[in-house]
Amino acid sequence: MKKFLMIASAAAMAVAMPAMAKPDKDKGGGGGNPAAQAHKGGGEFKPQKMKGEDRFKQAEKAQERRFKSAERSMKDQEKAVERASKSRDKQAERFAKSQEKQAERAAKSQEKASERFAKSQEKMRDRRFDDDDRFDGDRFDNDRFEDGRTRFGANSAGFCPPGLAKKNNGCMPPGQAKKMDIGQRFQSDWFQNNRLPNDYRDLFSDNDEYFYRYDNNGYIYRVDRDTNLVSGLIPLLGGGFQVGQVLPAGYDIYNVPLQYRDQYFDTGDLAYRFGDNAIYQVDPQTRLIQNVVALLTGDNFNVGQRMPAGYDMYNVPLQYRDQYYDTDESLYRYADGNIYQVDPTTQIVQAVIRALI
Amino acid sequence: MSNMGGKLLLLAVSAALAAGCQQGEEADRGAKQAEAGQKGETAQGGTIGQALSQSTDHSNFVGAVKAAGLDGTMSGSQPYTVFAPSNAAFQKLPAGAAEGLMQPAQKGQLTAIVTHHIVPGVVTAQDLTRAIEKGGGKAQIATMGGGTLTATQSDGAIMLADAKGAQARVTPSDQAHSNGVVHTIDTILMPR
Repeated sequence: MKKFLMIASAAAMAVAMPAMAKPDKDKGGGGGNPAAQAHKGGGEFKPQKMKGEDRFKQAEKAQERRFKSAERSMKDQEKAVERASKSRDKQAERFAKSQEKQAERAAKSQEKASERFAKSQEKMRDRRFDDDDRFDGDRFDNDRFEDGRTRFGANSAGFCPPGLAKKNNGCMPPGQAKKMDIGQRFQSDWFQNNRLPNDYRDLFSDNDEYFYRYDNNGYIYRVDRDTNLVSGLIPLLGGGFQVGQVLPAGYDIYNVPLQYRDQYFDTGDLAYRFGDNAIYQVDPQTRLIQNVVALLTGDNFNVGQRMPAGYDMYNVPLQYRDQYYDTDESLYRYADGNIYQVDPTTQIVQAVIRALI
Repeated sequence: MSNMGGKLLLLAVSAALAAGCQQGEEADRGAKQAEAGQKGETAQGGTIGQALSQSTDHSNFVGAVKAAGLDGTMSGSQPYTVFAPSNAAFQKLPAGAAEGLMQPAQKGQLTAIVTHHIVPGVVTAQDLTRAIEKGGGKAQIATMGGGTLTATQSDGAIMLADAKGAQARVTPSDQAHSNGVVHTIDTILMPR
């Protein structure tokens, strides 16, 4: 069955979490999703309406924005792990102190000691939630943004829902835990013959500082060459993003693509997060992923650039076909909520002709 | 009767005012979401998800979709075309392979396989045929799993091939569901 390994999903990790890729300056931009472009692009590209240099600059800026976003996501992950670790240390320390006090009191008065112990246990339960600076009152308080959307309070590992294993970087169902966490030593013997999924190879290519490995089950690991420690984790759909699993760290903030926000927005009962080309419905209280409500292609339909490969077929939703049908002058293709107009000869995307969402 | 209607109207206006601006906005968006969901459930024979669930020939694929957590996608409002392997297609897998894929530890692989059978937008049988003819005998389709399928024609039938060369015969069905169409295939296609 391992032959079936594939991996799919993808292209868009580049969008949501080019998370750990280090931009290769020599390669420059290339536009939106480098993985997808490298894989799907090609063909005879004839610049028509936009100067090559402008297009390159535009693509380079977009690339830079994505990498910055990914860097922030990574930092969030690392901070979450650090906070979880501190939180556990503090708990252990308090527990030890509590035990000492209990022993002293027991020596003085067995009856009073048991009473105080009960109180100290109560206090401990209350204090546990003070450790994370994002907790404010309720355990998972839904802070409301100015625009009315909400975000999670963070679950800083250590408080896993029943049945889920406590891990340094989240809570995992049995059998689903990743092989290593950020900060742990990379164990190469687990990664023999496990190459990165094709769509991620260009985005996460080995360089002088880092190398990348895939565990064949939904996580890409970034390893620091100097320390041989895991310095980043990239969750993929079906691995890090899996129904029944706690949302990976670093996704506290609402991040659904703009064109989907009217449809998938946070409420007190439901939250939505985007990662690896999918939108997930999440329980804001437990942070458990409940469903995958939408899949996105992540393919780059950029005006002035060549249409991605794989769109040979007319695929406009039926209710829009009377308005947008292929002619000798224009083709129309649907992807990720938009209908695009494409030049049939050059295959250059001419316009976003309609947003359906 | 009109008096009662007037009172109801007054109550409704009062309630709306009391709800406040922010709540009003949220309610409005909630209504949009509900409307989208309602469209998905009622238009033209229900959603792709409903059609698959009602089919006796796709129970294995439905199980795989649910195990991968993609049933919400199939029942949502975004348009997709699903090339759904029949139950016979699952029988072609090596012994124990299908059961193995349903194990929690294999969810990554299962998800990649399922998403390899879903493509963006609505692709009818006619769209497939035209694209194949226009492409000189073959056409490529990008999947939601990030891969590509190649469509060809053989003896009048539409065939889909994966990257490893496995071929699946398409039994087209252009019945329009609220969020796309479902075609049946007789072989499971694997991502790279």
